Amino acid sequence: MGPGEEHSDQELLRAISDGAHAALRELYERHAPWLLLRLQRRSPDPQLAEEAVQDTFVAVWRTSATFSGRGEVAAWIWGIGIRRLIDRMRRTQRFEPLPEGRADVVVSAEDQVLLGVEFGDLAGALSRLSPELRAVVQATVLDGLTTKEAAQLLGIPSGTVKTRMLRARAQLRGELA
Amino acid sequence: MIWHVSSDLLERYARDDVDAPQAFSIEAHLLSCEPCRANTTRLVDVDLLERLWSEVRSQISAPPIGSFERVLVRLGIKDYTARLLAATPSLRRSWILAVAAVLLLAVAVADRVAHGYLLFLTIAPMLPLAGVAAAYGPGIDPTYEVGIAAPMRSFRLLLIRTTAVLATTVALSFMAALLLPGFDWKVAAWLLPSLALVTSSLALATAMHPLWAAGTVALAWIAVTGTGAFLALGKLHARDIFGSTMQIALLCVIAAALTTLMARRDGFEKGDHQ
Amino acid sequence: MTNVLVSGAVKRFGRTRALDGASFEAGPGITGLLGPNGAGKTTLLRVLATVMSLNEGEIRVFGRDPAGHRDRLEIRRRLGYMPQEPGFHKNFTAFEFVDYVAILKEMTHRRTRHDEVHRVLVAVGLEGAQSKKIKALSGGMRRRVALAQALLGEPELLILDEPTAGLDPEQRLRFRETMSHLGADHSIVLSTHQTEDVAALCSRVVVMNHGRNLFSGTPRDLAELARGAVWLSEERAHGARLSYRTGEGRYRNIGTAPDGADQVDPTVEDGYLTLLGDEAFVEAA
Repeated sequence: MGPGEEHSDQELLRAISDGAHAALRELYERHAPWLLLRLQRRSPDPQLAEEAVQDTFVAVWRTSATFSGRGEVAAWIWGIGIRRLIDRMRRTQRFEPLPEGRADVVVSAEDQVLLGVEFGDLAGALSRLSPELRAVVQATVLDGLTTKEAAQLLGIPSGTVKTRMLRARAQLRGELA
Repeated sequence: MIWHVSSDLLERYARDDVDAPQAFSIEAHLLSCEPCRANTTRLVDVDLLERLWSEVRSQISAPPIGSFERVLVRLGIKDYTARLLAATPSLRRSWILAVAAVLLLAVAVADRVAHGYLLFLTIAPMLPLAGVAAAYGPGIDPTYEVGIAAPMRSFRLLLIRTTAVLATTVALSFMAALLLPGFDWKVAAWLLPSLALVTSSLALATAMHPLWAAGTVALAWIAVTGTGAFLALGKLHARDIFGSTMQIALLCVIAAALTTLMARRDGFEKGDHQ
Repeated sequence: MTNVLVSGAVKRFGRTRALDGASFEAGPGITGLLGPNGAGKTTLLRVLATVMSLNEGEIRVFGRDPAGHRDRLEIRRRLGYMPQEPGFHKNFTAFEFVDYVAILKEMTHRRTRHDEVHRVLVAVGLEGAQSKKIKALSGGMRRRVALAQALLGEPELLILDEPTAGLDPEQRLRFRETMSHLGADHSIVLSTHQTEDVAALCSRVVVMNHGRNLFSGTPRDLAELARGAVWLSEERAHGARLSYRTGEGRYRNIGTAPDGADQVDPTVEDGYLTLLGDEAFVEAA
């Protein structure tokens, strides 16, 4: 890899498969920050999120060849990261419910318009869901977890995840219809 | 991409100062927007990122811990000691299989041949001797020279390896001995000879090349059992030869060898073996 | 500040004397030990590295005598040794090997040890190859692995036995670069039979042959030994001890220069050849 050349994430993954440490370092610099921020928001303990980030990049090093080539590398990294966090949480046996119910913040008018463009009324409908329902929507829809994984992340039984998803869907459908 | 996350919003996100829909939106966006991801870099503590990277790098470079080492660590051995043992040629699978094969052969012969048990008693104690001789020393351990120049006491390395090889071979010999016909004194009669051969070989190694030491001791042992076999052709039984007298004699040999070894152990640090 | 002091060193192997009254001194910077094969360089370095002991003579490393048990341990803690033919355990990767030596150097804490292993591998330019098996590495890279393990723990004194042997010119250049960086903070003793290494790197040089010293001084002083004895000519000079054709087409001659000869400044190599005497010329012819 030459200096001063911009390599795509895909190219970095290929270099990683060939054993290039420098490529992993580059990928780390691009993705570790946002991954850490996103995992911290789902972890009961900041240290677990940090450890999960470490585990993620070690896993990236070892399994770089398994990236299918389709979709964003960032999404692939996220899939690894969230599951590493769940592993860590299970190992330390922490099943506290995640902090919920942030007070809604005043959003600038411009941001509100832009967010509205991205998601339409969905943003409003989402904010009207109760925190528990919103959590399962985030885990399954946004984070891409299976019912079982969502259950592990949130510290609730799988059955509860399913019922809450049904209720969330019903409520959203009702609002957006 | 029609919009990007403003710096202000990103900072609030990093501070956890956004509501759920905003967070959803930002997170979904970051998965597919490289410039916005780049903007998150300055929002995370640089030292933290470096520390985490250092740990990642250590893990990916680190030699994969083989199953052998894992077992050792489980048994309470320190990870770095386990690393030293993992580099011992005579603890490799191939070696252990060879030892097992020889033992089984000796057991099979013992079953079929008159006084065949004498053969087992001759061979079994020489196996740990061979293992220890192949564990350390100039010409055997490729890193011998570098090891001498290093501060860690070579004697310590030798002891670690000897103990491991002895333990392994003794375990194998014990299992093989259980296969011998008749569950009696034979099952453990080879143990003291094993210890005696190994300790006297180490003691001799303070004065000569380890391979010479091992060879001398092996020859001496063969002479002893050979004489015993010769006598057995007469009227004496194997039990009489390898019985209490010899076992006591062997204990004396072990004691003498250990004393000599401890007294002269600095010899291993000198590296003057040629 | 002298780190190493050897005088009157004698080392016998059976009937041969590998060292026959050799002396040696080294301080900060890079000291070269120059001599043909069999001169006793490796033996001297082994003695310095405390791998061997002397039969006669005095040796002090960091002011301590390696014959003493405790002193020897102290010396070993502060030196790094790169043997001429380092052995590697089969199937080890570069990282694993250096890590193994790091354990022998008493670095028991895993994380710190790994960081140190990584540091030395970067210092010799092997960061990209650290996960490769040693048997899959080229000769030049293996030498770099051997050099890396010597650098562990930032030893004050580095003892390198023929570190450039078998390296191609590009690798040798890169090695010299590494050496000049290291020479700033470490005391280095390296042996070689290549005069270019000495000319390029060393602030002091000791020439040895048959286990004895022939010269001790700066590379410039060594070159000066041949002052007035080196000249160029169009034809081969038959009276010279050595006459060889240079790339430009003229002949370079060493020996007794005839009057009016086209004398040139002597190089370190010229001085070295002059010092070795007839023996060298028999080899070089």
